[in-house]
Amino acid sequence: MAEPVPSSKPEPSAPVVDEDELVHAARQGDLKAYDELVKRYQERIYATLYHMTSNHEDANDLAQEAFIKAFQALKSFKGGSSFYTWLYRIAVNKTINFLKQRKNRTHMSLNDIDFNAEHDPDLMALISEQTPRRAAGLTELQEKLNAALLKLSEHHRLVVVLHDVQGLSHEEIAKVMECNVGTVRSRLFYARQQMQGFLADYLKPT
Amino acid sequence: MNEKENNFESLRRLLALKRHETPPPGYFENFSREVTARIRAGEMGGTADVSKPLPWLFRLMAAFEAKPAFAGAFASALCMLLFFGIVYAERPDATLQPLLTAQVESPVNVPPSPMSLALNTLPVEQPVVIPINSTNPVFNAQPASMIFGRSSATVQPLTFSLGN
Repeated sequence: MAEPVPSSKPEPSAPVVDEDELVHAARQGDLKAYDELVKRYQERIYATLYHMTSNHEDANDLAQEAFIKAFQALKSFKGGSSFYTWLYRIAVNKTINFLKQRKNRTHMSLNDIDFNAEHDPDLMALISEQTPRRAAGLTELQEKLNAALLKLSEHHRLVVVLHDVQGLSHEEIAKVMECNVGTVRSRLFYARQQMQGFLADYLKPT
Repeated sequence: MNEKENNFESLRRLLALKRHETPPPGYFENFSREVTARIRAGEMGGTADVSKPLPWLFRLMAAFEAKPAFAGAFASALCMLLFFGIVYAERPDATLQPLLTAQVESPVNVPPSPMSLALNTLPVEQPVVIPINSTNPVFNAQPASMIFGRSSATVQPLTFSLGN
């Protein structure tokens, strides 16, 4: 029988259950424990898949399927890497396969930009500077940015998303992508160069 | 190089916009519930005991998802098996072939019966030797046109007339 797991919305005083315990319980079939794991990682997994697809519906489907697959494959999880890295790998592989299948059939379904963007000094600096991007609103910038990302290959896009958007380190990305750190660095450099070309009008030096 | 770094810095600042793209409000409140509901209903086939081992196909597919290299190796092995299967099927059967050719070349190996000896005295046409092949269809000596007896179909003009 699985060990008891605290309620899905822990109070501030509630003890934080160790991830290994949750994984162990989920492996025994405890769906409450797995529900807790899903809650911990749903935002990061969804965000990565959304930035990869630029489509909310696709990201939603892929994220759900990735969590289901991960639950089914939990027995094969040996613990060689962290659960988070392992889960990421499943989600990313699923997404890359999906993107390869829907090649040239891209349809953007972008999420709204939150209110905080208007208070982001970096973004305000980009919009207010004396460049062609000055006239561009945040929505236009968002569309151009997503369109540029979709022009990258899946692996290059993934590196940019994980590093420059999600903030993962090179080492973490290497684990997720099952390649060495040098490959991650070179892919990142190449992807950034390509992005610069695609967004030249919005990145002109003042 | 410095300019390049500056450009990357601009790009990095632009990419920060992506962090502000958020899903509809309340989206994550239902997400985990939907996942666990799908696990309960669909993937587990409606059974309550989730600790039961999954069907081998699900586990195989899950392993493919987790390790694409394993999927590649499995596909390669399958292709090899198919290839050898085709090669083996195309190859003539070494044990059966001499037997078949011997039967074809010397059709009368059994001792002749009195009836056949009597028939042999009658003038008969030289028998046609047909090579036996496992891929040949069943040979029908009777022409197709003779299946329904002699063909006597004739074409006649047909006229229709309306009644009074």
